[in-house]
Amino acid sequence: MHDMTTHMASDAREQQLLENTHADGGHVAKLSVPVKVEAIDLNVSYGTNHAIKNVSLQIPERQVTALMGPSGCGKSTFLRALNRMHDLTPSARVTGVVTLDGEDIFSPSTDVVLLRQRVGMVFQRPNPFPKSIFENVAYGLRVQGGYSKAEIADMVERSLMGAALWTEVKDRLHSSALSLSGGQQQRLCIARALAVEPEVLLMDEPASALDPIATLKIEELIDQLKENYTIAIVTHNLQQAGRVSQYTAFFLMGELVEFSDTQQIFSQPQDKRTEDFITGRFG
Amino acid sequence: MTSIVERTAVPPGKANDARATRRARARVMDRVMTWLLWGLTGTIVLLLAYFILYTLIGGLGVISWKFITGSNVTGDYVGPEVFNTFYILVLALLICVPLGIGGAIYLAEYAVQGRFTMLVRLATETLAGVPSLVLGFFGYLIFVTAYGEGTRFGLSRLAGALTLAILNLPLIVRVSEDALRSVSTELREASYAVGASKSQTVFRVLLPTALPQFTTGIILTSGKMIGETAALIFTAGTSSPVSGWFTLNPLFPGDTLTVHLFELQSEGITPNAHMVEAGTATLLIAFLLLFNLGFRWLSAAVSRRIAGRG
Repeated sequence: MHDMTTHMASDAREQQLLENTHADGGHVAKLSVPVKVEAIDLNVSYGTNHAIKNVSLQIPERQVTALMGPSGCGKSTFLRALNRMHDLTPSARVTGVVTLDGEDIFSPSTDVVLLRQRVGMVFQRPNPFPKSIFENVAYGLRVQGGYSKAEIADMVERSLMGAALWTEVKDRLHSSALSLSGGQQQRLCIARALAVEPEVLLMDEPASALDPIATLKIEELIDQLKENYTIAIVTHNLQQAGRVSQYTAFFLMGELVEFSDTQQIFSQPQDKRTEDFITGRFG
Repeated sequence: MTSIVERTAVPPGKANDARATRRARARVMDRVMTWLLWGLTGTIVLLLAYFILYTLIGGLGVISWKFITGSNVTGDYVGPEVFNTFYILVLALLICVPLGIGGAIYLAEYAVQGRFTMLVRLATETLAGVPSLVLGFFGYLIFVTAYGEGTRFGLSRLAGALTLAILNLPLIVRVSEDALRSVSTELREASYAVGASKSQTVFRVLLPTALPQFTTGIILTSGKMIGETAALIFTAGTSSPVSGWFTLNPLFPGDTLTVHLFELQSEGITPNAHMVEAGTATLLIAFLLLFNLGFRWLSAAVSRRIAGRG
């Protein structure tokens, strides 16, 4: 771990870090609040498709950060770099740095299993396993191993409460998760992510497949969750970004156009393109 | 609704006439196709019904407890054949299913797609095309005799089962690989996202999810195995001893129901061969049906256990 090569690599990374602070784009705000996750000069490409171009972005701790932009702007691709989901796509190439609490997640010494436990993810479409409600939430604990039956039951209950689903399912924990409605399934997926006690939650358009009432519930839930978790949520829905987030990043064609607190970006966008998007001229 | 009204309200003209003719022709064509397809399906159903009824009418009268469990020199009773059929089937499945599903897991989840996997696929597909008679000879050379010199297992149920397993391996691999690939990316990602490893994802998510399709694959394979004849004639033998056949010794020779049927046709030892044939055929159909239903029930029960109630 402490051999020569890694030292050299981290020196190079520090160098890169410094350069980036200078080469920062004009409309990407530096935060004065604690930063949980930081991307520095991040590039992601699939084959010849350069999906994310030199994005540097700080995600503040225990706040909701919305990643907003039209379809195909790279916001989901960016999100999926933060827990190394791109490892699963052979054609994806990722360069640059992402840090979690200041540690590089792409460094060879990073345990990707541990990383994904710390950085949980909720997907666009509810994707519960074809198992019981209980087993869905317990899954992350079971694959970790080392928990007693009572501990698992306890954490399943707490997670379901955390995801505001407990009262609806407490009498049928052993029913199939597929018997739940779409909105309930999505909250189950949030509970499943919470069960392994992550620090960061990545949400990839978590409400886009849901009806308005279920969407409202998810948004209320996100608001509660930010007390304990750092949240990054991808959305192409302006109103949603406005409702749930404290900070907003606007992506366009793989580039980060603007980043600042949500109020500012909605009332006084600095970039013409952001303004066009917010006023509904495209997207 | 309104658009239809508007259209009929348009004054008659050349373009309108052409359109009306076209609609009328489409309606006629619809009706013709419906009848044609209905007729084709009906023909298949009729053929099948005729075949099953013919077999059952000839066979049901023959079947008795003694027919199914007894044995004698002339082969009037098929006790040994019933036993061998199931014995060889179970043995062959025990060899074939773990190998096949294991191979499918490797091909679908672990192998880096490239030259090697293409070679493996080419090999399985070629194997699937090899006539069972040829594989029977192969089984004879490898499992019965040791390359023609001396004996390995001799004519035996084990040699038969091994040959059947090889014969059906491509089918199991193919169906299982498709089953694994059909599990959605979203479920895989959900598993990885809570920190599961690859093997955990395979064994705790993919395999249970693909279970119904595995079952279909096993049912298909079982059907083929119960019906297989050519590959068994050279490997498991064409006869069973009159006594001592009720043993779990895999090195014992033993003919199955289909091989028995073949023997009855081709040799004139059994005086009432026709009746025994009808009975044997009826039993085969009944077993296939029972096996199919049984496996489906088992799979549904296991799925329910995994997926939870309701």
